Amino acid sequence: MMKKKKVKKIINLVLMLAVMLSVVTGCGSSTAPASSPENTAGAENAESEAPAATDGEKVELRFLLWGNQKEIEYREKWTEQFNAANDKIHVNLEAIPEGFHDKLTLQISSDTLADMVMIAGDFGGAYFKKGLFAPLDSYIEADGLKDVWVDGVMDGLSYNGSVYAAPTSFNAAFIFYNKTMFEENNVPLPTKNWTEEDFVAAAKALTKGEGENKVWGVDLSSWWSYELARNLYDGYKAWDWESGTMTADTQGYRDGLEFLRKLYQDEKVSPTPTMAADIGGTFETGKFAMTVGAAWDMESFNSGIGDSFEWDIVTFPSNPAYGQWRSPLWTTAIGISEKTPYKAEAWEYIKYMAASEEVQGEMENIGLPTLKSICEKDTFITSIPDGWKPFNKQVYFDALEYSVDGVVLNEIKDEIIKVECELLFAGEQDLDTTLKNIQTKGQLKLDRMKEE
Amino acid sequence: MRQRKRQTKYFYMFISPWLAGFFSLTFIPLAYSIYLSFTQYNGISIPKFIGIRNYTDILFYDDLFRKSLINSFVYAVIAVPSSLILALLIAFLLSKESKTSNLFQIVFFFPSIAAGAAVYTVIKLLLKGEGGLINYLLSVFHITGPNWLTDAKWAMIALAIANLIFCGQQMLIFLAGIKQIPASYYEAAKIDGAGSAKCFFTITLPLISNVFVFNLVMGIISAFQIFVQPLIMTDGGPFKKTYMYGMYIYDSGFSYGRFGYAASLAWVMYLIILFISMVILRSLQKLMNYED
Repeated sequence: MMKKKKVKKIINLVLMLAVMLSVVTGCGSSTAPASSPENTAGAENAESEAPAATDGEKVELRFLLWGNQKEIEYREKWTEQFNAANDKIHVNLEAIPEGFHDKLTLQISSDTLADMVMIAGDFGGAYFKKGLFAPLDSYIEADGLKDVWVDGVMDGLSYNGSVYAAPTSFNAAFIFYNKTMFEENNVPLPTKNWTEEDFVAAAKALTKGEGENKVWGVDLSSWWSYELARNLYDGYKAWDWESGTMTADTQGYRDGLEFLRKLYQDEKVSPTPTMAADIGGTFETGKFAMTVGAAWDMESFNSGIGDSFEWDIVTFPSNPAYGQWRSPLWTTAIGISEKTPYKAEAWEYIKYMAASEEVQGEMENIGLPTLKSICEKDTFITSIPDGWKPFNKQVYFDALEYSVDGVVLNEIKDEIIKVECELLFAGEQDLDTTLKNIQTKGQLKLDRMKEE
Repeated sequence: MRQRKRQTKYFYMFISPWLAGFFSLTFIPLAYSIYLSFTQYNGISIPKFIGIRNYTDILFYDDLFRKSLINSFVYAVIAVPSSLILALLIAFLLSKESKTSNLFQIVFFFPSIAAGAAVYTVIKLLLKGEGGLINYLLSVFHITGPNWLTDAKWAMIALAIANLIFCGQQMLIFLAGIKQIPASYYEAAKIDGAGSAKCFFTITLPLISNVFVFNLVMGIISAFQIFVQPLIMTDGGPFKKTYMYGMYIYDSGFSYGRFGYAASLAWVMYLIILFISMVILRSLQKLMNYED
């Protein structure tokens, strides 16, 4: 009797384990990519490997992207146009206004990556290296698109000599200024050759009032403050990805942070990033004489400001020792998932977004078009999109001259630099401690990241 | 014998859907997360076994671990007692026979069924330093309200205050406990000359001690796991003063793709909550065994 019970128990246990095992194997999937550029050379034949859609069947493609409201609206519009013109392909947008990287990580780790993904030049490299995206060289060559895009933007979209994403737009930062406010206060309007001294003088002259009626000389309370802190002065960044070292201990980086600290704490011309949530309004409301922005802000500023006041844009000012302030260069591109079986169909959509005059002709509503035939056209510099007020369009191109490409390490930027700079800018921590913390904590993270 | 066998068969048959769900959706993910906690895993490459290095990194080198743990602890110390006291007070008042009692039960419970994210967004707007309704109301009485969510001194308190809106669930559990107490106890006490306060402290409170401990332990667990509220209201700021442990786990995994590290953080959190719950249950055991 006892023996029988034991046997029954064992059978039950085995059955249970079998059920568990079947569940594990059934649900399990390999998260490792099938191949990576480091171990395969066959990726270029992606087109021939992909199965074609069955005759008469519409291929549904997913496109993961980020963007502000206006950017998403425009991309939806262009996608609808593409879908309407295609019997065999239908693209569905998965637009993520905030937390794009979280969504991307989630899709990659759960093996549900969209067929197409929006990529920026400053973070794509890490994914290209891991083989998550298909090389596009064969498609680009087949369609004769090799030299159609602005040269400077292709570096961040390439790895090991192959192109992994096609650029659709690019942006560099500049300064928006409230022309009416400058003129009413007899402050000289900023010009292309203005200096850091002119910038501070204007910001000080235009900072007025108290409490809810306070008008600030400049708005550096948004995420821009941390972006500027990355490498405000020429060549001095917080980290050097190639050598895997933190470079926050250089004089140039120190001077950059000290300048920003002074704006908040000594000159008091901008609210600190900590205060941002309590300020009732942004540049559109007339609470700020100047702000930092890029071409993607033009549409919302035009519609938000309307006839309330006159405004224009101007390039970054120059520091006597380091030259013009530096801006990150943001290239927006689209890549194709290595795992999608519909690479050819995905390429059709990418081609439409990145290389068709129809879309690229309207791209300046949300950024600068990357197609040379559009942005290098003589008429481009003088044309103003419908409904916009005239502005100094030359600034778009001048800003590119001081913009710098580079790998962004979100973990170091958000977990360390943002935290330490927030304390510095709010006057809660001195510069030496801030730099020391960024350098040592950042290096610890970099060392760990290098091991991965 | 046959009857018993049939019963056993039905037992397994009826319990099997739950068992399958439990193993596939709870047990296996749990076991997998233990394995992940001993690996370096970025969600792309195959997990690489690194032994206990995630745990040593957390315990000896991670500033943010200490900071977020302390923040969660401070939040629990402020938010749990305040929420319990308010819930108990409301439950006590609503236990009195009144026509409007049911209506107020619904009113107080409503935020608990509303979408947390929406409620926190509204509270965030109310607590805004410039142009927020709360500071406007304070200004009517010539009081200058603080920057509730951006002042390091006030941000944690603001979160605890916002948490009070969700005390409805605890209130309902207290109310159920209070309603279980026979009315004759109160009648006898009143004959002996006891007032409402005396009745509350000598009858109500001791007789709902089990319920109280349950709410306390659940409140502490919820407080340590809090995520959405600080994410929406303060995003962990200012200066990471409201950056909670749950946010750190999320960021480690989904923002920075360190799933192995995030799994280790989650297991450390589990052990901390287990330890705190055991200490509370042990220390309050006497209080719970009121019948003795």
